[in-house]
Amino acid sequence: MHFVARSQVEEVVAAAGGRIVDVVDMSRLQDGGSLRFAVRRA
Amino acid sequence: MGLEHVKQVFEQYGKSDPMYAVLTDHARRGGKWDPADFFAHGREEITRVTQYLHDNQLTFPADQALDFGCGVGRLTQALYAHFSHVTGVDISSTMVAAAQQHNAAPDKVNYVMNDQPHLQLFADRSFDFVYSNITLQHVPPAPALRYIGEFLRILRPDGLALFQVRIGPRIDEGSLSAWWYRVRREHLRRVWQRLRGRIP
Repeated sequence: MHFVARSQVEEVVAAAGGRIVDVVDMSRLQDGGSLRFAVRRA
Repeated sequence: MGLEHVKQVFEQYGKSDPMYAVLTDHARRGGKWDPADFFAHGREEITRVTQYLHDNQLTFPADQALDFGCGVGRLTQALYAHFSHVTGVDISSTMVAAAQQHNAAPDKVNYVMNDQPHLQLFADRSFDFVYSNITLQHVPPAPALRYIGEFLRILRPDGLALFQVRIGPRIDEGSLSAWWYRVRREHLRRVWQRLRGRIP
């Protein structure tokens, strides 16, 4: 299992000319969160 | 940290137990997944996704969709009911071969293998919808973040990308924490898994 920081996702999306329109917490396990991002072009 | 280890693991699983590798239900390890049940899981997931999109008014043209990390095509086969055409892409050639065997709509669905840390095989603005679930969590942070950037490059102007990641502490490439992350994930983990007799 690999992890990324939420801030890194936000930075990559912005750098690629996108915007995050929604984030859903998909966590089912206790050893780390799981997020689902909905993104569009800015 | 690259994709070589990810590819190695899923090439092996694609040959030995592809459906279990995608949906790790221990009762169905060893080729015990009934394909009908397996693909029903995919349809249930896509039903939940379409409901979510509808509820949140996240609309886009229903033309071209991409299933990133398609594996055996569990979700790809569910997506084609909603789009003109769906492409499934996976790092493993054996997974793609298994997906092609289960392709119920070859006129609407194609599968391709990509083991590069980018999606240059797809042109800019190719897809209306990019979907990825329980895939990027198997990819080391640097290429996972690069793929996310690629999702936006291949997205059409009115399109939407929907992707899941596991969230953890920030690890920047070149940092001491990145070195330790690599040691733990690539070396210590392999030793431990070999001791346990599992695919490293």
